[in-house]
Amino acid sequence: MRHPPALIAAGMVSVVLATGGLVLWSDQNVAPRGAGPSGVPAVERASGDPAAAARFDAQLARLAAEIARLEADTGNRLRELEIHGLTLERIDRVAADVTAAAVVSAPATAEPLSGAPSDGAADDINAATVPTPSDRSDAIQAQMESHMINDPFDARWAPVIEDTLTGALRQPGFSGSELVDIECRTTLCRLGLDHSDLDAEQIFLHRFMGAAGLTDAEAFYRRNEDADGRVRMTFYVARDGGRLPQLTLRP
Amino acid sequence: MCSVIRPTLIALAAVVAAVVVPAAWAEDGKVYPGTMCQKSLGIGSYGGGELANDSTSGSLTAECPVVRDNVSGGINDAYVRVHKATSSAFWCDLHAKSVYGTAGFVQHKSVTGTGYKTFSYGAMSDYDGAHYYFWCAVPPSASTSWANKSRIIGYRLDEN
Repeated sequence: MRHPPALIAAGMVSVVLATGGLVLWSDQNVAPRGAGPSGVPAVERASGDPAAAARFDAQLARLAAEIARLEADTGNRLRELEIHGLTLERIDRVAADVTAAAVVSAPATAEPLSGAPSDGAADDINAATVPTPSDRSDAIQAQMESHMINDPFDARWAPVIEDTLTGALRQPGFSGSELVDIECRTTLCRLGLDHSDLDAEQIFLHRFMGAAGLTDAEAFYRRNEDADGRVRMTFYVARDGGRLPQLTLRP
Repeated sequence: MCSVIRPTLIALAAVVAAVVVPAAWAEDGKVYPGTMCQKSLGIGSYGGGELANDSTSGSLTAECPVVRDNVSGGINDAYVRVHKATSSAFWCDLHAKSVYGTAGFVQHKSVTGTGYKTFSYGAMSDYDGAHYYFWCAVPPSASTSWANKSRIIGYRLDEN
């Protein structure tokens, strides 16, 4: 039976429309991934709804805390097994999601490469061809997370330094900074922090490594300010005497 | 005529290369006096190009600016020269923030003992168009005489 051309065209149009609708529905209903340690910025969206963004960020923070708890439980178990000479491979989906999110996410509040204002047309052109600092920070953090996955666990050093760093944050001067989670491996530690305000954050950035007794350390941090002035931060610090993982980006 | 022009052009090219090439390849290092540091907390005074902690019991904190004229280059190396009068902690951190401060790198150095010390920093990642600075915690001085004060003497940063 022959089908008239109009019917065939109508069918093709219907398929295209259905596919487009499915894509739109997926974008709106699939929660953007990028959850990770406290301080990982939520995937920026072009919608700009502050209330929705705040709810989403709160959900991410709860998820990050739960992940940290599960990781701590898993880490404790791994430590027990590793101490007994067993090697386990642990697939860190969170870090993998961070890596994936760093590749596909398009931040809506990207910082310009310079402070000079520019017209919108130039921004559009530049956004398509020049990586922004936000893209760069995403990529750097993804590399840090990748390093955390592949860095073996030093059963003698990691628990000790975790206690040291945790203890340093209990000093009175850091009362405005809350340690949400901490994980150390062999060459790198990651801390998730909530600072009550910008002053608390500045105190942490300027005094923490000295207060912890570190003598020669390098760190990278990523921060996100909430509307209420709180600052969520992910802080990566290299082992004392060592350096941060070598970046494959421009140094 | 050609026998004159060609050697002249070669000589001219050599002169230009001698002037231009070294300038293009030279590290852009600047040395700053300690007096450029801004006191933030504590009691301090300036003198002889240095910033000193006037207190024999409390620390002095200071931020020391860096002029970044190679806005798309990076940090090659740096140092801070200090006088440490007491055994309390003395550290200086080199900060490289992103343009709006949403991320950054920090290189932390501290020293032990007393006397003249140098904090040495290696290459560090950075963000184009953003600024650098040092933040120092200067320990208490041994006495109120200048020679016995903990001081920031000077600092240098070389860009790529």
